[in-house]
Amino acid sequence: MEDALLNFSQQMGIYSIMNTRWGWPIIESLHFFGLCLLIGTVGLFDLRMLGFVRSIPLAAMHKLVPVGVFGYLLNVITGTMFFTSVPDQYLYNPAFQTKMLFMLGAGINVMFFYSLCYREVKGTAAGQQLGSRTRVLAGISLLCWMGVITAGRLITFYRPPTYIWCFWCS
Amino acid sequence: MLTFHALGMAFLVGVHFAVALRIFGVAKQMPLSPLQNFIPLMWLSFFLALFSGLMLLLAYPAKGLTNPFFYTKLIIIALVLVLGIKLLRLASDSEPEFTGTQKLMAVASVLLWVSVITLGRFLAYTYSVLMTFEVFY
Repeated sequence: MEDALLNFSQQMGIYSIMNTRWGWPIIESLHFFGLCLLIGTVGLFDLRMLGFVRSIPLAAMHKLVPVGVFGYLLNVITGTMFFTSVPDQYLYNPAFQTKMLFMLGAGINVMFFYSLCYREVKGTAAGQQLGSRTRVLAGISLLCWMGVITAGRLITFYRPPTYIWCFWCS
Repeated sequence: MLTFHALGMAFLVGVHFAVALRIFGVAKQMPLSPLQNFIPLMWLSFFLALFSGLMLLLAYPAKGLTNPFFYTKLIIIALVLVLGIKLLRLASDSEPEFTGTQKLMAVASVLLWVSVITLGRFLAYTYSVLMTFEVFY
Protein backbone atom coordinates (compact mmCIF):
# COMPACT_ATOMS: atom_id res chain seq x y z
CA MET A 1 0.00 0.00 0.00
CA GLU A 2 2.65 2.52 1.03
CA ASP A 3 4.80 1.51 -1.90
CA ALA A 4 1.94 1.95 -4.37
CA LEU A 5 1.10 5.41 -2.98
CA LEU A 6 4.74 6.47 -2.91
CA ASN A 7 5.19 5.15 -6.42
CA PHE A 8 2.20 7.23 -7.57
CA SER A 9 3.71 10.33 -5.94
CA GLN A 10 7.05 9.74 -7.63
CA GLN A 11 5.53 8.91 -11.03
CA MET A 12 3.37 12.05 -11.01
CA GLY A 13 6.30 14.26 -10.03
CA ILE A 14 4.53 15.16 -6.78
CA TYR A 15 7.34 13.67 -4.71
CA SER A 16 9.96 15.95 -6.21
CA ILE A 17 7.76 19.05 -5.72
CA MET A 18 7.13 18.17 -2.07
CA ASN A 19 10.82 17.64 -1.40
CA THR A 20 11.97 21.04 -2.63
CA ARG A 21 12.77 23.74 -0.06
CA TRP A 22 9.36 25.46 -0.24
CA GLY A 23 7.20 22.78 -1.83
CA TRP A 24 5.60 21.41 1.31
CA PRO A 25 4.79 24.76 3.02
CA ILE A 26 3.38 26.25 -0.22
CA ILE A 27 1.06 23.28 -0.71
CA GLU A 28 0.09 23.57 2.98
CA SER A 29 -0.84 27.22 2.44
CA LEU A 30 -3.01 26.26 -0.54
CA HIS A 31 -4.63 23.57 1.61
CA PHE A 32 -5.53 26.22 4.20
CA PHE A 33 -6.83 28.56 1.48
CA GLY A 34 -9.15 25.80 0.23
CA LEU A 35 -10.33 25.16 3.77
CA CYS A 36 -11.21 28.83 4.24
CA LEU A 37 -13.20 28.80 0.98
CA LEU A 38 -15.12 25.75 2.18
CA ILE A 39 -15.90 27.20 5.63
CA GLY A 40 -16.73 30.61 4.18
CA THR A 41 -19.32 29.18 1.80
CA VAL A 42 -20.60 25.80 3.01
CA GLY A 43 -19.96 26.70 6.67
CA LEU A 44 -21.96 29.94 6.42
CA PHE A 45 -24.69 28.12 4.49
CA ASP A 46 -24.87 25.61 7.36
CA LEU A 47 -25.09 28.45 9.89
CA ARG A 48 -27.95 30.04 7.94
CA MET A 49 -29.80 26.70 7.81
CA LEU A 50 -29.28 26.30 11.55
CA GLY A 51 -31.18 29.57 11.99
CA PHE A 52 -28.50 32.28 12.17
CA VAL A 53 -28.98 35.42 10.06
CA ARG A 54 -32.35 34.31 8.70
CA SER A 55 -32.66 37.46 6.57
CA ILE A 56 -30.38 35.83 3.98
CA PRO A 57 -32.41 34.04 1.26
CA LEU A 58 -31.07 30.48 1.03
CA ALA A 59 -31.60 29.95 -2.70
CA ALA A 60 -29.38 32.98 -3.46
CA MET A 61 -26.83 31.95 -0.86
CA HIS A 62 -26.56 28.51 -2.45
CA LYS A 63 -24.75 30.22 -5.37
CA LEU A 64 -21.72 30.40 -3.06
CA VAL A 65 -21.56 26.60 -2.73
CA PRO A 66 -19.72 25.98 -6.06
CA VAL A 67 -16.88 28.10 -4.66
CA GLY A 68 -16.82 25.79 -1.65
CA VAL A 69 -16.72 22.78 -3.97
CA PHE A 70 -13.72 24.40 -5.69
CA GLY A 71 -12.04 24.74 -2.26
CA TYR A 72 -12.87 21.12 -1.51
CA LEU A 73 -11.36 19.89 -4.79
CA LEU A 74 -8.28 22.04 -4.20
CA ASN A 75 -7.91 20.33 -0.83
CA VAL A 76 -8.43 16.85 -2.25
CA ILE A 77 -5.59 17.53 -4.70
CA THR A 78 -3.23 19.16 -2.19
CA GLY A 79 -4.18 16.58 0.48
CA THR A 80 -3.35 13.74 -1.92
CA MET A 81 0.02 15.41 -2.50
CA PHE A 82 0.87 15.21 1.23
CA PHE A 83 -0.60 11.78 1.71
CA THR A 84 1.10 10.02 -1.18
CA SER A 85 4.50 11.64 -0.55
CA VAL A 86 4.87 10.25 2.99
CA PRO A 87 2.14 7.57 3.12
CA ASP A 88 3.43 5.74 6.21
CA GLN A 89 3.15 8.96 8.24
CA TYR A 90 -0.55 9.15 7.42
CA LEU A 91 -1.87 5.60 7.09
CA TYR A 92 -0.91 4.68 10.66
CA ASN A 93 -1.68 8.11 12.13
CA PRO A 94 -4.73 8.08 14.44
CA ALA A 95 -5.38 11.80 13.78
CA PHE A 96 -5.39 11.19 10.03
CA GLN A 97 -7.71 8.20 10.44
CA THR A 98 -10.07 10.36 12.52
CA LYS A 99 -9.94 13.07 9.88
CA MET A 100 -10.92 10.55 7.19
CA LEU A 101 -13.86 9.40 9.34
CA PHE A 102 -15.07 13.01 9.63
CA MET A 103 -14.65 13.39 5.84
CA LEU A 104 -16.69 10.23 5.32
CA GLY A 105 -19.36 11.57 7.71
CA ALA A 106 -19.47 14.88 5.83
CA GLY A 107 -19.69 13.01 2.51
CA ILE A 108 -22.61 10.81 3.60
CA ASN A 109 -24.27 13.88 5.11
CA VAL A 110 -24.02 15.75 1.78
CA MET A 111 -25.78 12.88 -0.02
CA PHE A 112 -28.58 12.85 2.56
CA PHE A 113 -28.84 16.63 2.37
CA TYR A 114 -29.31 16.77 -1.40
CA SER A 115 -31.71 13.83 -1.48
CA LEU A 116 -33.85 14.83 1.52
CA CYS A 117 -33.56 18.56 2.23
CA TYR A 118 -32.49 20.40 -0.90
CA ARG A 119 -36.02 20.93 -2.23
CA GLU A 120 -37.15 22.41 1.08
CA VAL A 121 -34.08 24.67 1.19
CA LYS A 122 -34.63 25.97 -2.35
CA GLY A 123 -38.18 26.95 -1.51
CA THR A 124 -37.25 28.76 1.68
CA ALA A 125 -37.66 32.52 1.57
CA ALA A 126 -35.66 35.06 3.56
CA GLY A 127 -36.61 35.10 7.21
CA GLN A 128 -38.01 31.57 7.20
CA GLN A 129 -36.94 28.85 9.61
CA LEU A 130 -36.19 25.36 8.28
CA GLY A 131 -37.53 22.02 9.48
CA SER A 132 -35.70 20.17 12.24
CA ARG A 133 -34.38 17.44 9.91
CA THR A 134 -32.60 19.99 7.73
CA ARG A 135 -31.24 21.80 10.77
CA VAL A 136 -29.84 18.53 12.15
CA LEU A 137 -28.09 17.79 8.84
CA ALA A 138 -26.71 21.35 8.74
CA GLY A 139 -25.36 20.90 12.28
CA ILE A 140 -23.76 17.55 11.36
CA SER A 141 -22.11 19.18 8.34
CA LEU A 142 -20.66 22.04 10.40
CA LEU A 143 -19.43 19.68 13.14
CA CYS A 144 -17.87 17.31 10.59
CA TRP A 145 -15.92 20.09 8.88
CA MET A 146 -14.74 21.48 12.22
CA GLY A 147 -13.72 17.93 13.14
CA VAL A 148 -11.82 17.65 9.87
CA ILE A 149 -9.90 20.87 10.66
CA THR A 150 -9.21 19.80 14.25
CA ALA A 151 -8.04 16.29 13.41
CA GLY A 152 -6.09 17.66 10.44
CA ARG A 153 -4.21 20.11 12.62
CA LEU A 154 -3.41 17.28 15.07
CA ILE A 155 -1.86 15.04 12.39
CA THR A 156 1.60 16.49 13.12
CA PHE A 157 1.40 15.47 16.77
CA TYR A 158 0.41 11.85 16.18
CA ARG A 159 3.06 10.88 13.68
CA PRO A 160 3.58 7.19 14.14
CA PRO A 161 7.04 6.32 15.46
CA THR A 162 8.10 3.20 13.59
CA TYR A 163 8.87 1.17 16.71
CA ILE A 164 5.27 1.40 17.95
CA TRP A 165 3.20 0.59 14.90
CA CYS A 166 5.57 -1.39 12.74
CA PHE A 167 5.83 -4.62 14.74
CA TRP A 168 6.94 -6.47 11.62
CA CYS A 169 9.93 -4.15 11.16
CA SER A 170 13.01 -5.14 13.07
CA MET B 1 -3.79 26.07 20.62
CA LEU B 2 -2.78 25.37 17.04
CA THR B 3 -6.22 23.86 16.53
CA PHE B 4 -7.94 26.95 17.94
CA HIS B 5 -5.71 29.11 15.75
CA ALA B 6 -6.70 27.09 12.68
CA LEU B 7 -10.43 27.16 13.50
CA GLY B 8 -10.38 30.88 14.31
CA MET B 9 -8.58 31.64 11.06
CA ALA B 10 -10.91 29.40 9.06
CA PHE B 11 -14.04 31.20 10.23
CA LEU B 12 -12.56 34.71 10.14
CA VAL B 13 -11.05 34.31 6.67
CA GLY B 14 -14.03 32.24 5.54
CA VAL B 15 -16.60 34.94 6.28
CA HIS B 16 -14.28 37.55 4.79
CA PHE B 17 -14.04 35.46 1.60
CA ALA B 18 -17.83 35.18 1.42
CA VAL B 19 -18.20 38.98 1.65
CA ALA B 20 -15.40 39.52 -0.89
CA LEU B 21 -16.97 37.00 -3.30
CA ARG B 22 -20.33 38.73 -3.01
CA ILE B 23 -18.78 42.15 -3.71
CA PHE B 24 -16.94 40.63 -6.64
CA GLY B 25 -20.24 39.47 -8.10
CA VAL B 26 -20.73 35.85 -7.00
CA ALA B 27 -24.27 35.07 -5.76
CA LYS B 28 -25.60 38.47 -6.87
CA GLN B 29 -29.16 37.73 -5.77
CA MET B 30 -27.97 37.41 -2.18
CA PRO B 31 -28.42 40.72 -0.36
CA LEU B 32 -25.15 41.88 1.18
CA SER B 33 -26.41 43.74 4.22
CA PRO B 34 -27.56 40.62 6.18
CA LEU B 35 -23.98 39.35 5.95
CA GLN B 36 -23.17 42.13 8.43
CA ASN B 37 -24.81 39.95 11.04
CA PHE B 38 -21.82 37.65 10.75
CA ILE B 39 -19.52 40.42 12.04
CA PRO B 40 -19.76 39.17 15.66
CA LEU B 41 -18.67 35.73 14.41
CA MET B 42 -15.71 37.40 12.69
CA TRP B 43 -14.69 39.21 15.88
CA LEU B 44 -15.08 36.02 17.90
CA SER B 45 -12.87 34.16 15.41
CA PHE B 46 -10.40 37.03 15.38
CA PHE B 47 -10.01 37.02 19.15
CA LEU B 48 -9.77 33.22 19.18
CA ALA B 49 -6.95 33.42 16.63
CA LEU B 50 -5.34 36.35 18.48
CA PHE B 51 -5.50 34.62 21.87
CA SER B 52 -4.21 31.28 20.58
CA GLY B 53 -1.54 33.14 18.60
CA LEU B 54 -0.38 34.95 21.75
CA MET B 55 -0.27 31.63 23.61
CA LEU B 56 1.82 30.10 20.83
CA LEU B 57 4.13 33.12 20.96
CA LEU B 58 4.38 32.75 24.74
CA ALA B 59 5.39 29.10 24.34
CA TYR B 60 8.32 29.93 22.04
CA PRO B 61 8.81 33.72 22.26
CA ALA B 62 12.21 33.85 20.55
CA LYS B 63 11.04 31.62 17.69
CA GLY B 64 8.60 34.24 16.37
CA LEU B 65 10.24 37.43 17.56
CA THR B 66 13.53 36.70 15.77
CA ASN B 67 11.79 35.88 12.49
CA PRO B 68 11.20 38.75 10.03
CA PHE B 69 8.31 36.76 8.54
CA PHE B 70 6.50 37.14 11.86
CA TYR B 71 6.57 40.96 11.73
CA THR B 72 5.58 40.91 8.06
CA LYS B 73 2.58 38.76 9.00
CA LEU B 74 1.56 41.22 11.75
CA ILE B 75 1.77 44.21 9.39
CA ILE B 76 -0.32 42.45 6.73
CA ILE B 77 -2.92 41.45 9.36
CA ALA B 78 -3.21 45.13 10.36
CA LEU B 79 -3.67 46.11 6.69
CA VAL B 80 -6.24 43.43 5.97
CA LEU B 81 -8.23 44.33 9.11
CA VAL B 82 -8.52 47.95 7.98
CA LEU B 83 -9.51 46.80 4.50
CA GLY B 84 -11.97 44.27 5.93
CA ILE B 85 -13.71 46.88 8.09
CA LYS B 86 -14.01 49.17 5.05
CA LEU B 87 -15.47 46.36 2.96
CA LEU B 88 -18.02 45.51 5.64
CA ARG B 89 -19.07 49.17 5.78
CA LEU B 90 -19.90 48.84 2.07
CA ALA B 91 -22.21 46.02 3.03
CA SER B 92 -24.59 48.43 4.74
CA ASP B 93 -25.23 50.26 1.45
CA SER B 94 -26.24 46.96 -0.17
CA GLU B 95 -25.72 48.15 -3.71
CA PRO B 96 -26.56 45.66 -6.42
CA GLU B 97 -23.43 46.55 -8.41
CA PHE B 98 -20.07 47.62 -7.08
CA THR B 99 -17.47 49.91 -8.61
CA GLY B 100 -14.14 48.70 -9.96
CA THR B 101 -12.27 50.15 -6.97
CA GLN B 102 -14.48 48.28 -4.55
CA LYS B 103 -14.01 45.03 -6.45
CA LEU B 104 -10.27 45.67 -6.47
CA MET B 105 -10.38 46.13 -2.69
CA ALA B 106 -12.17 42.79 -2.37
CA VAL B 107 -9.56 41.01 -4.49
CA ALA B 108 -6.72 42.74 -2.61
CA SER B 109 -8.12 41.66 0.74
CA VAL B 110 -8.37 38.03 -0.42
CA LEU B 111 -4.75 38.15 -1.62
CA LEU B 112 -3.67 39.69 1.69
CA TRP B 113 -5.38 36.89 3.63
CA VAL B 114 -3.69 34.33 1.40
CA SER B 115 -0.34 35.94 2.20
CA VAL B 116 -1.15 35.90 5.94
CA ILE B 117 -1.91 32.17 5.68
CA THR B 118 1.26 31.54 3.68
CA LEU B 119 3.45 33.57 6.05
CA GLY B 120 1.86 31.81 9.02
CA ARG B 121 2.59 28.43 7.50
CA PHE B 122 6.13 29.52 6.63
CA LEU B 123 6.81 30.53 10.26
CA ALA B 124 7.11 26.81 11.03
CA TYR B 125 9.87 26.44 8.43
CA THR B 126 11.85 29.68 8.56
CA TYR B 127 12.77 30.20 12.20
CA SER B 128 16.46 30.52 13.04
CA VAL B 129 16.06 30.35 16.82
CA LEU B 130 13.74 27.90 18.56
CA MET B 131 14.51 28.14 22.27
CA THR B 132 14.85 31.53 23.95
CA PHE B 133 18.18 30.71 25.62
CA GLU B 134 19.74 30.31 22.16
CA VAL B 135 19.49 34.09 21.75
CA PHE B 136 22.07 34.59 24.50
CA TYR B 137 24.69 32.25 23.06
